[in-house]
Amino acid sequence: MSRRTLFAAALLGLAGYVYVYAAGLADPPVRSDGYSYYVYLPSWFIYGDTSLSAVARDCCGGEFPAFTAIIRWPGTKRWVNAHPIGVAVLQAPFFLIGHALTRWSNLSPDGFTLYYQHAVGISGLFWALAGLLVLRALLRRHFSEGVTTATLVALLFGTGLYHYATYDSSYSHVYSFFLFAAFLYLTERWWHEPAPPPAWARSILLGIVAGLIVLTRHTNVLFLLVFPLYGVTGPQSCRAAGSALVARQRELMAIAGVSALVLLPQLFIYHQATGRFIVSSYGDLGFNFGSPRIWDVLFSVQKGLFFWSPLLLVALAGWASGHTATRPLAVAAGIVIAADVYLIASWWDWQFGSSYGHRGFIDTLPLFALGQAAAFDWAAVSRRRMIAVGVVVAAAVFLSVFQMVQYWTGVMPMADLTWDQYRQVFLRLR
Amino acid sequence: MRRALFFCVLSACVVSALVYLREPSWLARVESGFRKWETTPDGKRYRWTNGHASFFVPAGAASIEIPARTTFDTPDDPPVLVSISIDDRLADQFVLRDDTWQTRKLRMPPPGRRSLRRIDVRIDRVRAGNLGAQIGDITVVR
Repeated sequence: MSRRTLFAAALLGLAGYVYVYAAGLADPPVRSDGYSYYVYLPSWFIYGDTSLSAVARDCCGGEFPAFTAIIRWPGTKRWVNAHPIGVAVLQAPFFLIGHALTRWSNLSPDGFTLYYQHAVGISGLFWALAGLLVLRALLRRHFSEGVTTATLVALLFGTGLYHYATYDSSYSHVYSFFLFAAFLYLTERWWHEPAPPPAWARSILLGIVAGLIVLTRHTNVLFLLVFPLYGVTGPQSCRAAGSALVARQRELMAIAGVSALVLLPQLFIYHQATGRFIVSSYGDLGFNFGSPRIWDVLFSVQKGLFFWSPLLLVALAGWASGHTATRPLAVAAGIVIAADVYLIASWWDWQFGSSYGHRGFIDTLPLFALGQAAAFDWAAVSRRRMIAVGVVVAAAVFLSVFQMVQYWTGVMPMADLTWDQYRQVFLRLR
Repeated sequence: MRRALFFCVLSACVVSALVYLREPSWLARVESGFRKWETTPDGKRYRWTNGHASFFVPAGAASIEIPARTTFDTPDDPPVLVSISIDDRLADQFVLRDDTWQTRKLRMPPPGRRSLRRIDVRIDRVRAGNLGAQIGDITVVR
């Protein structure tokens, strides 16, 4: 993705964002899960309160509405937010600009008026674009400019990424997308370019990103497996990776130490609310590990990953091709994606509520991007392959964009879609 | 040279945007914390507020009249305290004990530098679904 293409992507993202809100297709950005990811910022910066009580008093007469998933902890009766603070940390610069504009224009400085809302909305778009930029840097190390650009454009429009960068940009997914892309990039650099070791700056950055990944969604911790598994392709390389990690244990300590520092505020918030440092913030909601809905999560008409983003089947083919760029990450990606599928399929609400496609997989798109680029690289060697792959990808991107517009305009139901409903609205705008 | 020119243009754009955003014409229509309009069986228009709602009125107004009430699920429900502030200064507080309408008349302070004044309505307890108080049509007396 050249600078011009990235600029065009930013303009298209902004245009989509403005269209969603100018046409009244969606409620203001701070809604649903976006509310609880964001609510820390008004609480900290406007009320100087880490317990969320003051913001509850001001917004909602003392009690958070049920949709926020912010619950009173049994025993202490203090507020515990199901969602951790990572998204709020990344939204903070935009929040401060929104707060300054609010003061300047004399809007109500309560954290939920016009400028706060769109500061949060634009923040999501910004981090999605930042994720594409980092992903570009990662892909360009292995692939041509053309393959890289095609991969990122296909990823943006052929999956739910554009939707979660515009319509639902206050959710955590584009933040995880950026952080995962950055973690992949830094992991590869740490393993390949430690000349001469130790790579302290890279280790500290890795620690910050790793901490933010867990701070954004606790289950994201799975993604950190990419780091120790990088380069592992079999028993021999596994032993070699283990030896290399032992040899660089001081850098590992730095990564772990910095990550722990980043996580510390969250632990204090949990302790303040519950008296414990580690809690299950979702309360009674939880996982059904014994009966995961794996088929539904991957292929169902409701939210199946490959049903809604068939483009990613091309990415899987790319991973299977054994390209030199994907080989060091093949085992790590396989384990992380399989574990992620199992985790998402085990969640009590495996559809993740009302959402376009399966939003749980937006986070791991950087891993799919490598496979996608490998597939495009394979196709680039002959005209016949290029046409064949091009037709498939163009069809997948068209379908994804069309269905996204159907979702935006209310033609496509937001959850619990049936096959009959899907057939009725297939390629229809009314 | 090109970089200096870029920063000059950028600074000019930022300053112009800030001047515009100080009091744009659409600000008078900006409000927060209100639900959609509804009508009572006897034809009175009202909107539910959340726990906190805000709107703007012209700074030149002499006073404003705000009709308010709320509903109670049971006779034992505690009364609701409504606080109204003008540009962050408390202007009125009253208690809603039953579901009859109360119209509060607020005298406006002398106009300041701005052409609009912000009115904030806060309710100390809400119904299920974050419903605060019902606010009828607001009258601005010039």
